[in-house]
Parts: sequence; C-alpha cells; structure tokens
Amino acid sequence: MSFDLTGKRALVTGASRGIGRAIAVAYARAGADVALLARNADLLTDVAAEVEALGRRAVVATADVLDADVTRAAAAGAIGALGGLDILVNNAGGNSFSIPVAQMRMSGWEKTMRLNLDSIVHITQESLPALGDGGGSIINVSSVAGLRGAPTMAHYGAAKAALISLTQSLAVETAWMGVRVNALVPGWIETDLTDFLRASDDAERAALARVPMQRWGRVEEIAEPAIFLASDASSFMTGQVLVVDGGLSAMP
Amino acid sequence: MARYLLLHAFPFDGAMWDSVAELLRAQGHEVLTPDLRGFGDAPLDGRLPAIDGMVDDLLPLLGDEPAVVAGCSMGGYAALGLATRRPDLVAALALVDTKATADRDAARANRERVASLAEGGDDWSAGMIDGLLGETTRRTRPDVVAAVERALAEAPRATVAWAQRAMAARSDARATLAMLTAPVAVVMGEEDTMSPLAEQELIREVAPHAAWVPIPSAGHLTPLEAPGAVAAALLGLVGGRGD
Repeated sequence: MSFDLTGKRALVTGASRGIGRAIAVAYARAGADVALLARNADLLTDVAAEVEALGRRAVVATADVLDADVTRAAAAGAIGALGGLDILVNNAGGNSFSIPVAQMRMSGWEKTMRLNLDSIVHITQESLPALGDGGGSIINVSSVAGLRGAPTMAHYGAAKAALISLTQSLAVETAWMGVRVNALVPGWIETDLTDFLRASDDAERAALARVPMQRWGRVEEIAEPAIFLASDASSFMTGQVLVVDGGLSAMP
Repeated sequence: MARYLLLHAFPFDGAMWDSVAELLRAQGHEVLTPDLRGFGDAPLDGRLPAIDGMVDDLLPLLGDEPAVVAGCSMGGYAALGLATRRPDLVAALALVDTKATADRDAARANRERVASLAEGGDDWSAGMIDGLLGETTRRTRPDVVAAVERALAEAPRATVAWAQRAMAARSDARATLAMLTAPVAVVMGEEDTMSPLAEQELIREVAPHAAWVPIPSAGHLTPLEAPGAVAAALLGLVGGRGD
C-alpha cells in the first residue's frame, strides 16, 4: 500500500477551502492526522469535523500568512500539538488583482511575493527540524502561471515560478535529512480563485479553449496527486515538478 | 492571547475538554477546565442542588479577569448562570450542545427518576449513551464510545443525583442572553438529539447576532466527538490570530 498515509502527521496551509481543504480531507482519508492552518478559524470548523468523522485527529491553527511572526508561532504550535511532522503542504497563496507590470504599484508586487513566497520560507523553516526527524515530504503548491509568461499577472506568475526554483534548491539542501521536496502545479481548477473565469460564457469558453481536456479540474484531482507526493509511492522523487493541468502546458 | 474557561457536561469532569484545551494552548491561549461541583476532584459540600452552586465555585477561579466562556450541555447551564451573575467576566460565550430554556415538566420528572435510580443503587444510565453521542461517532469511534461508557459507569451516585436535581431546578436564561453584550456562538452537533435544533433556534431568537456553528457528524458531546472542530469554533469566536 504505497499510497497509504496511516500514522503520518501533515500540516496543510490554506486548508479552509479549495485545493487545501481537499488535500487535508484526502490525507485524513488516507490515514493521516492533519493540522489545518488558515486565516479564518470559523471556516475550519467544517473541515476539522470532516477529518474527525474519518477517525483522524484535526489540529487547528489560525494565522494570516502575511504576518510572519504569527505564522511561525501558529505553525510551531500546530506541529507541537500533532506531536511531530511528516508532511508539509505549502498551499496558502493567491492573487487578487490583474495589471500590466508597467502600471503595477510596488505595494501590490510586494504583497504578492510575501503571500506566495515569503510565507513558504517562514513555514518551511519552522517545519524542517520536525520533518528531518524521521524523514518527510514537502509539497509546494505552485501554478501553471509560474511555468510561462503570465501577462497581467506577472506578480503572481513570478512568485509561483520562484516557488519552483525554491523547491529545487530545498530538495538539494534537505535530501541528506531524508526530506523530499516537490512542486505540485495545478492548472485551472474549479475553486473560488477561478470564479472570475466562469463569470461569463465567453470568458469560460476562452479559458477552456486552451485546455486539451476541455473542462475544469476538480479539487480532488489535485488531492490525489498530493497523496502520491506525500506517500512512499514517490519515495525516490525529489526536486520535481508535477503538473496536473488537463494538458494545458502541453499545448503548442 | 485570550483566556478560555471551558465547562464540562454531565457526568464528566474537566478532562472532557483536554483535547480542545491542548489545541487552544498550542495556539498560545490560556485555558481553564475546572471540575464542576461534585465531579472529578470537586467536592459536593452538602449544599442544596443548584447550578448557582457551580457558579459559586467558578468565581474565585476567575478572579476579576474576564474569560471566553464555553459550556457543553450542563456546562452551558453553568456558563449561563455565570453570565447572569457576572456578565462583566464573560468576554464571549459559546453555548455548546446546550439550552437556554428551563426544563419542562416531563424533563423535570425524568431527572428526578434518574436521581432516584442513582441514589437507590440502580442502573440510572441505561440507554443514555445513544442520546449523548452522534450516530456517526457511535459507528466509527470506539475510543470515544468507551470513554463515555467509562464516565457513565464511574460517575459518583451522589453527584449524579445532585446534578440531575440542580439541572431540573435551573431557571430560564433567555433574559440573560438578551441583555448580554459579549459575542455569542451557538455550537451544536448536527446529530445532537438531546439539545435539538428547536432549542438552538430559541437561543437565536433572543441572541440574533449569535454565530451559528453546526458541526457535521457529531452529537451531543462535540468536545469529545470533534475537538478540532470545536477548537476552531472557539478560536473563531474571538477572531483568529491574523485578525
């Protein structure tokens, strides 16, 4: 049973909704205890209940990942409550605006970097001692926006591209500790974050025209590959980029 | 960082909140989980049965420093009793699987029946576990079922009788809720049959701004059945760290 996570302890950031929530629940179903970190504790109630109904422990931690000190304390507290850590999923992130680089205010650029890149360094630094104790797996959730140009979303694309480079550097630096580090790259998945692309039929048609499989991905279709990367099924895999995008990145 | 006062259900003791308390402490909060009168290490002291007696014991513990108060079932009656006496000590109130109304005649008579069975050395808790735990918990969580069975078997009979009569004598607390200015949350297991939805609606009638926090797949003892979900609700009551 390579895809089994029985007895493992996982910390998932951005766990209150979307891809993070799906990964947290899938890990519990695969046998892991899960620490859920999110900005809004209220939204964690349902996810925690879902994990606990599966007979697994749910640890809850609240932090806005833009606040480094609070995020570090929340992550450390969650790892303590879990009694150790085997899996870290750096999923929290996002983007709330589109604008060409020429017109971009630096405050927006900096906030995007802190949200999608700095936060991951903070949480990873807090987690590495526990992950190194017995080996572990880090999964950094990037985006197809980080694979190529992302016009009007250069800030987000650059942060997600940097996250892939960070993944590779970390993989080399931590292999001796028994820690594997991989990037998981979702394409267009049906979540709150992509709601704006479904606002009109035209927008949706234009978006899906670039996806060979001609549909939105479901969050479960990211959660299953996330089990693969967390489990012994990927035991010889580190520093790699697993793209799950319905063929989007294969288009000429 | 907040200070939490967590009040346990019948017939448990403060340890009922251990899992929730651990999660709150891990996020930097202070947590008090006292044994209510007659339970755990707290003596009965021979006074007449009254929820107010439990409140008497809580006041020296709190001092003059307010706390976020959460009470499960009987603990909720004590929390409302505290809010009636000293609303200034209640920074926020979470009513967990509990009621704000007084017992109706049938419920009061049933409590006297349970009290008499306990005093007479008879089996006072037959079938009670089916009401305490949600259907999902009974099916999937043998550890929780065993813990509740143990608590029912080990509860001191004098305390069972005292607490049943104290609960039967409690007054309606809706006037307290209507006047309370602190934030309120109504937390309930969706599979709770002992404090049914209709009772929660009565709370919302007098506290229309109360946060409404249903917990899926849990019954009447959510702090035991879904401690992570309850901890999230209690963290949310005072705003997350990020706010």
